This record gives sequence, structure tokens and C-alpha cells, in this order.
Amino acid sequence: MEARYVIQFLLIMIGICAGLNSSAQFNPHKIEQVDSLMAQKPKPLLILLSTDWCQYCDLQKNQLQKNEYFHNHKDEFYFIEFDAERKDPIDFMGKTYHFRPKGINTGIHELVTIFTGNQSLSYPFWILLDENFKPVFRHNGILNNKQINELILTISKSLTKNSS
Amino acid sequence: MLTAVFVSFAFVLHAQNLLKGTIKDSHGNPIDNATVFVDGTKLAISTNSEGQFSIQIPDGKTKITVRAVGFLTAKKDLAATEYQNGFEIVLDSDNRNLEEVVVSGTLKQVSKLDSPIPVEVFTAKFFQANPAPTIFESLQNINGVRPQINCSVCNTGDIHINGLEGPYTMVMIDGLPIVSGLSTVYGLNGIPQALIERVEIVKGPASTLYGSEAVGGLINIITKSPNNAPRLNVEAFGTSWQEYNLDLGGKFEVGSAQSLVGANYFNYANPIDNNGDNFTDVTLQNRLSVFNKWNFDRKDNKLFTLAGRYVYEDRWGGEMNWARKYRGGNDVYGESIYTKRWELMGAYDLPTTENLTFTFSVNGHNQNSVYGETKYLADQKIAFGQLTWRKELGNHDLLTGLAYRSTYYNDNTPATINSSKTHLPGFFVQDEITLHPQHKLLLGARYDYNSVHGSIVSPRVNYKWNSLDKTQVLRVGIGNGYRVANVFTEDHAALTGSRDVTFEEDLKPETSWNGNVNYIKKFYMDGGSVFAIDASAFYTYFDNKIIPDYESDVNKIIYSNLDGHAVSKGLSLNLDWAHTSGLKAMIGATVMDVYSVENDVKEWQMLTEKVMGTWTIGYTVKPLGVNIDYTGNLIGPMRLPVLGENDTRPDKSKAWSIQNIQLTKKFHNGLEIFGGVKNFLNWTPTKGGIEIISRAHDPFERIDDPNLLPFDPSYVYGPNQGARGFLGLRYNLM
Repeated sequence: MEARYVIQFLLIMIGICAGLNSSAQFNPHKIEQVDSLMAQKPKPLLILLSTDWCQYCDLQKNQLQKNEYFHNHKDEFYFIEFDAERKDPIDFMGKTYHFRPKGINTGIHELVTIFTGNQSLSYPFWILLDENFKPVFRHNGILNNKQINELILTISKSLTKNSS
Repeated sequence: MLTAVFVSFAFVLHAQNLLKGTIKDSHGNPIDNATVFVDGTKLAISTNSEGQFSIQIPDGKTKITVRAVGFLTAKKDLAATEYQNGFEIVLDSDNRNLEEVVVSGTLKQVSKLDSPIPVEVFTAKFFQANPAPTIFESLQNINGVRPQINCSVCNTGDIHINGLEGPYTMVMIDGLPIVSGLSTVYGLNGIPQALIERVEIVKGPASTLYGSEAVGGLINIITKSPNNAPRLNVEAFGTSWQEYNLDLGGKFEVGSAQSLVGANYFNYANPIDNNGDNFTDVTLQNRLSVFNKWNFDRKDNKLFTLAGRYVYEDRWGGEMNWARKYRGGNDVYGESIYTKRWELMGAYDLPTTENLTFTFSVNGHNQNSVYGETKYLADQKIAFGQLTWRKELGNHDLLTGLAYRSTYYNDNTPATINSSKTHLPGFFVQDEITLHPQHKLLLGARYDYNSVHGSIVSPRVNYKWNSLDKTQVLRVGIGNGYRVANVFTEDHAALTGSRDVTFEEDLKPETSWNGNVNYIKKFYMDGGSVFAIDASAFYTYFDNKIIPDYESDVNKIIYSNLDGHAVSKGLSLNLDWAHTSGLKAMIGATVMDVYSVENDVKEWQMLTEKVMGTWTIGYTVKPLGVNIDYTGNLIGPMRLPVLGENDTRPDKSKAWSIQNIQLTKKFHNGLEIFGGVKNFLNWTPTKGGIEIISRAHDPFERIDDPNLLPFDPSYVYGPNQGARGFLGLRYNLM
């Protein structure tokens, strides 16, 4: 009896929201592509650290997909999504970084530590590196669209300044 | 004269080119890695760890810009004096970015997408919404999970997951099993929340990998990576009942090894008797636990970790005038328990090309307790070792393993005349098959040989489907489990009160079959919010269930295997909503039916609710930097153990609810102050003058009146602690 109501409720909710989820897609770069991308054309790197169990990360990614300002400026920087608990080695800035286990089925990629430093880490985690891989901005937590747009505006400004 | 002027002018010009300075924050601490740009050029330099820099300024340039992560950018016009003296720039913290929206990771209900088994993830922040001295108490905020107090005098408890009792739940730290036996509850003590990244909960059987103790579920505490753990963490709070809790945590490094250390001290030493039955309402406690974990870096990046923990606890409850000199005597009734428990566990990846991992866990548990005149002295030692081999072959992810467990147990009760030693070798195999990017199948089986009960096989099948956009996940699982029960170690009712304990036959292991279906759907709204639905249905069928019978004879507890079957079934629904503004809400409800059937008579399980709900609602008031958390639960009626027809107390409880409110203020320097009211509705099970302890005035049953009920404290069904305020602080030094 209860089950039927639950299922009915679910179906209605799915019906309502199926229509909402349509938007242009863009593909973030992968962290292992950074070296070759930067060799071709150096740009600031905007990195989003996430994990597969972090729901706010999904919310953040979803928001980005719908952010038009972000889309319009995506050529000014490289946007990279990086799963902090990836298990494979990654080459970055000419060096190989590995997954560091800390227990059974749990651990963190050592590249994450390079990005976060000894700061506290909660996901999602944002890092902006300039063309020289120097960290310019770090942020623990979700950024709303306004804040992301501000961040992009800063990137755009520094581009125009550097080229002048 | 003229030359002199020219020379000095030239000197000044030359000196002007080199600019030296220091960048500091508003507290005067140097900022390293700040970048100093010379405006109108591409010149830039970073500060060193003392916040110092020096840079050549080209002629004609007079402006610099200083930037650092987490600080507002500063611009400065250079004056001639600053070249000579060096200068200091103070950067203001960029509160806009750092303080505004730290809502990350607060949300629960984040099933690991990849796993065919539903895993619920709760971050440490979730538990901070209603701070408690142990994770055991914090679990009351999770739907389908209820910490239960089994004894109103000694307040020992266990964890119910979907109606299944505590001994069915296995606790792990970073995947290292604490093979617990005696009292799972202690598995959740002593790890400061500042060192916890998240807690993963599996509701439902996980016996294939972990054996008999994981029939009801798993609780896995994942610690922070040492790099991102605070160097020092202090959390202290006190309540208006004079309960005090102190957590200390930290990390250090020795060579290439990293270590996390934590300690917890809890003290409650103020006897209170609000319901006037001359018995302490809440057990007095003095508890110290120490935790230490090591991770050793290896050149091949494989795992080597060791962890240890020690818990000492002294608790007593009883008549208000009890003192230690009455311990074990019949002058004043008291229940006093000293517990000493140590654990050592670790995991080591063998340095082979194949993925071979050795896991071990050893622990000792010593309990010295008296329940009135009855002594219970128990000693348990468990050694567990497991070797697993993981192999990926195409779309198959294979895991096989050999396990061995040895349990030593002795106590002073007549049921254990000789110490017992059981050996439990086992073998398991599991295959996770990725049939398609959207479909996964998990097949597993385990074989155990118990030196007392013989061969036991437990298979399982799990299946997962997710939609292309990963916003929908469906999981179906079926599996079986078994459990060898030790009545004394698990059931405090066996020891407390005046009832005699009898066993009808040699207890056979319980076996169970469990099936569950779980569906998750997430909706992302345009306004920047996420809404998630998580619905589950579960069904567990037990054979040989060991059920204590309180009702056949009010002076006895009769333990026997059920001659019939028992069922635990239900539905649970969780709704989560979170908005980037900092508002979040989680509401969950479970309806379940837990019963046994014997001779065609269906009986509802004692002390188990049919309906429960939990909620956590949080909001951040940004201008003030204040978080508000409102948490609570609602527990439906339960059947209660009344003492026959002469007992006038209701045999069914009314629905009850415990609600808490908390305010947290965050400061910029890593300090947080929190305070609030727990149980502000002031609910206790004694509401309406109900005696939760029968014959409390005569615990040794000296009054010769056959009409009096026996002394019995097992009627408790909720925490007997009314409203209380609390205030605390948290400090993290990164």
C-alpha cells in the first residue's frame, strides 16, 4: 500500500522534472591533458576538485553546465574537473603523481595535496592557477553563479592586462 | 658640492630599482606565496615563508599590486622612502570568498554512484548539527538508524538499523574491521570528529565480505587525509546537566610516516533524579578513549596503515545514594561497569605486482561489572586476519579472500563453565561485472567453517542501474547472512534486574535472507539547488532467530531459537534539499514491521517502532556568520515489556519526539562557538508518571508481598533525559 504511493510520488516528480533538465553541454578538460594544453597555449587553469560521493559537487557541475557566462568565456582558461579519489597515476608539470591509499578502498590522490596545500579540504574545492601554475585563488565549497562570474571576470581582466 | 649632489642623486636612483618588503595579514602574520606584480609590466614575484620579497622595479614604474589566496588584492603607490627602508603591506582577509558559502559536504545521502551496494555518506558536518560526545548518539539523526538504550539503570545501548539489533552491525575505521563481539557501541568512541572526513553506512547485509557480524549493516568511519587534517583541533562542550566532553585531535609526521592522534574524555558526575524514583535518570560516566593511526608512505605507493585505540570507561547507575563502597553488595542497589578495551588493526599491500592485501584486527575487551549483587566478569579476545586478492579482467573486477577469525571468551556465569575458543576460517569470492556503462552486477559468496556450528554458506547478488545523466540510480540486492549469538555479551537485559536467565536448548546460529531495492533520483533546479529522493524497500527473513522471552514467566528471561520465522520489512524515504544560499533540509521517514511467527501466531518485536522519522534543517545567516541547525526525530509506538497482568503500566508506548536546536558562530581564525538546547520539548519516557523501573523502592525484593511486581529496569524505550542546554567551542589550527 505504502509502496504504491511512494512509486506514484516518484513517477510524478520524475515527470515534472524531466522537462527541466535540458541544456547545452560542454566538456571539461582532463587533468592529464594539462601539460600538453599548456605547452600549446598557456592559459589560466580553473580546477574543480570533486569526489563521487559529494553531492554538492554534482550540484556545482550542474550549475556550471547551465551558466552561459561561463560558456561564453570558456576559451580564456582551461576548465578542469578532477576526481580527488582517482586511483591512476597522473603526469602533471612533468612529474608523476600517485594515488595514496589510507585504508581499504579509501585514499586521496597526491596531486590534490599539491593543489590544496595543508589547507582543510571539503568538496567541491576550487583552485585557480595562473599561466605559470601559481595559485591565485583557492576556495573550500560551492560557488554560486555570481561568484563564478566574478572569478571569470578576474581572469578576463588579467588576460587583457597581460596582453597590453 | 654639485658633484656631491649628483653622486647622491645617482645613488638614490640606483637604490630605487630594488624594492624590498613584507606582506602580512591583519593579525601581523606573514603571508607566503603572495604575488607582487609591478603594474604595467609582466614582472611578478612571490613572497617567501616569512612573507618577504625583493624585486627590481623598472624606471618610471611606481605602482605595485599584491595578491594572495584568500585575501583582498591591494594596490600601492611607491614613495622614495619605501625603497630605502623596506615596507610592509597588510592584506585584508577576503571574507567574501572564504566565509560566505562553506556549505560543501554538509549534505548526506550521497550514495556512492559506482557501487552496486547502496552506501550512504554522512560528513562530519552532518554530525555537528547536533553535537554529541560519541558518534553512537549522533546516529539518532539518521533515518532508519536508531541508537537504543537497553537498560534504564546502566544505559548500555546498541544500534538498530532498519529494526535489526546492534550485534548485526559491523564497525570499521578506514575499511579496517573492528571485529567487535562485545558491544559494537565502543567501536564508535574516541575518534574526534575533526579527524573524520565522513561516515559511510550500508543498511542491509554485507556478510559476504565481512562475515557474520555484518548481517544488519556496516558503519565505516573514514578519517581525513593527514595533509588536510588540522594540526591541532580542540572541541569542548558542556551541558546544563554538567556533562562535559573534550575532544583533542592532531597530526604529526615522522620521516615519511604520517600520524593522526585523537583523544576523547567524557565526564558526567552529577546524579539527577527528576522522576523521583530514587534511581539515577542517566548513568554516570567517566570515559577516556585514545586513538592513533599511522600511514606509511611507500615507494610503490601501496598501502601500509596501522591503527590502535584504547577505551576505558567507568559507569554506574542505581539508587541515588549509591557509592563505590556498595559495589556488588546488597545494601544499596547499583549497576557499575568498568570496561577496558583495546584494538589494533592494520592493512598492508604485499609488494607484489598482483593486488594482494593483508588485513588484520586484534582486540581485547574486559568487562568488570556488577548488577546489584550479580557479578558479570567477562573477557573476550578476538584475532582476525584476511588476505584478499583483487584482479581486474576486462569488465570483471574480482575480489577473493581467505579469512580467519579466532575468538576467546570467558565469563563467570554458569552458562560459561569453561572458556570458549572458536575458530572461524572462511573463504569468499566476489565479482563485480560492468555489463554496460549503465549496468553493474555483483555476485558474491562466502563459505565459513565454524568450529562449533559447522559449515555456513552466504551468497549474494546485487545489481545497479544508473541513467545516462547519472541523476537516477536503481539498486537491487539479495543475500543471506548468519550470526552466532552470545546472549550475555549482547543482551544486557540478561544481567540486569532480578530475572533468572534460562536457555531452552543449545542455541543454533541465526540465519537470514535479505532483499532490498533502492532508488535515487536527483533534480537540479535552475535557482541553484538540488533536490534528491532516496527510496528503499527492505525485507529480511530469519530462521532460528534467538528471541528473549520476557512474558512466559515474569521472573525469567528464556532464550531460545524461534520455532518459526521472523521478519523485518519496511519502506524508507529520504528527501534532501539544498540550496547554494546555505539552506538545506533533510527529512526521512521509515515505516517497518518487525515480527516473529511461531505456531501461526504473529508477534510484533518488543521495543521496535513501526514508524520513525528524522530531520535536519540548517540555515546560514551570512551577514552574521551564524549557522542554525534544527534536528529531531519522531519515533512511533513500540511494544513494551510489561510484567504480566498485574503490571498497570501501558504495554505500548506513545509516539515520542526529541528535538534539538543549535546556533554556531564561526570566527575567522578557526574558532567556532556553538550552543543550543537538546530535547527542548523536554520529553522523557517517564512522562505521565510512568515508572520505567518497576519496584524501584525495593530493588533487592525484601518486602514479602506476592502482589508486588519484580524489580525490573527493562521497560525503558527512550533516553530518560529531559531538556538541557549546551555550550561549546571548536578550534582548528590548520
